[in-house]
Amino acid sequence: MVFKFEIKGRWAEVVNHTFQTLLVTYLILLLIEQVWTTTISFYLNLNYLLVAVIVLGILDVFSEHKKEFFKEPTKKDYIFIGILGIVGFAVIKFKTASLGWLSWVISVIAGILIILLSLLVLEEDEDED
Amino acid sequence: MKASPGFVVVFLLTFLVSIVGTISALILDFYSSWMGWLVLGFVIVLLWLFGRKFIKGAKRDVKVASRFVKKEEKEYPTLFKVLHFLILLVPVFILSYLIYVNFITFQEFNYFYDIGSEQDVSKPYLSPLNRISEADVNSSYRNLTSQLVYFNVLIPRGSDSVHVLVRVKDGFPESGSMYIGGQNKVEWSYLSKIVYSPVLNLLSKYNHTSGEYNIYRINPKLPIVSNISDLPSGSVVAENVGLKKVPVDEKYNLKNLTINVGLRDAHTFYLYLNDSLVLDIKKQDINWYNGSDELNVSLFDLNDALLGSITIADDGLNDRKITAPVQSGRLIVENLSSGVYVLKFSGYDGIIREMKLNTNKIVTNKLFLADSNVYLNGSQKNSTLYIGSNRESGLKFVTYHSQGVQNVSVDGNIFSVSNYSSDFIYNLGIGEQNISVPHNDLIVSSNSFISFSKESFFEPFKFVIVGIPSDVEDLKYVDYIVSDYILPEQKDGWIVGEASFDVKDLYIKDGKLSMLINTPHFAREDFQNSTIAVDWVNISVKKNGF
Repeated sequence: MVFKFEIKGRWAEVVNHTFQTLLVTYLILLLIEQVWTTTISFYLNLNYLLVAVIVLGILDVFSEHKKEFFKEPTKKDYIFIGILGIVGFAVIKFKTASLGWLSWVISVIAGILIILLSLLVLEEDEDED
Repeated sequence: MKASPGFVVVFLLTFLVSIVGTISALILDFYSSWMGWLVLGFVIVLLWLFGRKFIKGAKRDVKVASRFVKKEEKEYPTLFKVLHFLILLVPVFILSYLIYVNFITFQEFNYFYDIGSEQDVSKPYLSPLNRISEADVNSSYRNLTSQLVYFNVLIPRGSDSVHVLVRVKDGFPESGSMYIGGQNKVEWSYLSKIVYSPVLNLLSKYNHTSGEYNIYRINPKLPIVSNISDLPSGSVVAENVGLKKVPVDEKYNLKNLTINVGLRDAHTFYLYLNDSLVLDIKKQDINWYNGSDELNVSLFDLNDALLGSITIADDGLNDRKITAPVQSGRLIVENLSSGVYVLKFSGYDGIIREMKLNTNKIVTNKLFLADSNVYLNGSQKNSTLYIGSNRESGLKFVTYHSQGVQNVSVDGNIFSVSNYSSDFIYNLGIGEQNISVPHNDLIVSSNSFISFSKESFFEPFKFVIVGIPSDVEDLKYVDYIVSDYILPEQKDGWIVGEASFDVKDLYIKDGKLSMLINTPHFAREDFQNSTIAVDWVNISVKKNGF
């Protein structure tokens, strides 16, 4: 007999919702910590949050997932990707400012990569349909 | 033709490798232009691939747009609605807490570094380890064995003040002292405060007034004053509070001046300028050490604002046996108002050979005379200096080579600099003093101002500001002491010294402040084997809320 652990129904949705919420919270806090060093780490050990995110992530793997219906990419998706690229560029520029002109090269390339790879993922989803 | 997923993965990986390789090459200095072209090629191909993908995608969009419709969400039971709401409250709560502790509430962070404790043994608080003793389990302290010892303090963003208490064994010599410093610039620079000074411990016997700072009158011939602005003109003020220099209210008719005295290392000159500075400099590298030898020359006003600067580049040579060419540079700063300015030369591996200025009023407190065969063969010559002092002061000589051992003439009196790496102090009286240095390779410094001739001498400031003397004997050269020194608490042979810093005066990187314990007397030959025991360092960081 093969034991199969699976969280189902509404509880699976709760796990999924909690995982997503904490993951996004963790990423936002991590970003804030990177830009404004010590604003988070002095008062909150992000590793605790990371442990919670990992545990919920594992539970989420063992949870039932509804079949997702893929929408076609809309203008909003492309605007969102553009914003992500610009934010990524800004953060990397800020963190590498001491490198001088090299900072511009690194952050521009990183921004372009974020945009292109995000578009690739978006388009690949579409192809898989 | 469609690009296969395998091709895309290989392409992106190669692209990534080429970017990492190019950046590494730039950092490690083996970049070649073909690397840039390679990266550019990748970017063009990538853009082309995406261009194709978008055109294809746009055509297909029209066909498939109506195929997918998201199912309507079913009604949720109340329990799960509440659960979803509570989960959303978690980030709201975390963010609110972070806003509260970062911006609203008062916070005090305390760090107690128990030197010599088990924690200190496993992860030492002080560094470098070769400047402190091994921790002794029985003694529970460590000994400082060298002048500069560092420790780090975590400083949260928005902090206002840092207060440091340090407990050390009372084993200081009479001329010993201890400072606590906090890094205040990107480069190596520390804002230091005295936590122990035998000189300052004696101050209680002098008349003083207390206000923002304590002003001690040392010279009984001068009046007791309660304000910095009341300090008599021409007095010598020793301070550790960062007093601003007050320029004298004098006007001078200026002439051009050429200074043909070779100088080594960093120098600070005080100039009187009318409306501009035109300075021509000649420098010659000596290439004793590896690395680039740039000379930076900068003009500042008395508030430390940079008004102009130039850099004379390295000569491109690395071999000290080759006589380096003389290089020139010109610094022009215009639109100045008449007054006193500060001209700074950076320390570098070479000699300043000549300066031509459009002012003949130029003085300094310290010169490193370098017209000596030690630095450039055939450059040795006599140098003459002038001091027009209106106060008694000391004139200090030191050389670091046997060739610099010599007899110096001070106003006709022969004074022997009879050894190297030792300080020789000549007591200067009031009035004009001509100094003749036959062999150079000599550092000459004084509380009084030094010029290269009588004509170029002037008193730039209302009163002379000097550091707190390290030797009680040197108090005779000081008229007043302005200090925020807190008399250290002494108990059972231990001293607890303290110092406070305003965080806005400090340089904090990634939430860390580098601090140092400075015991200057360890640098002197006669105290090189002495030690000072440190028991603990207690740091309190305060952060005011709204």
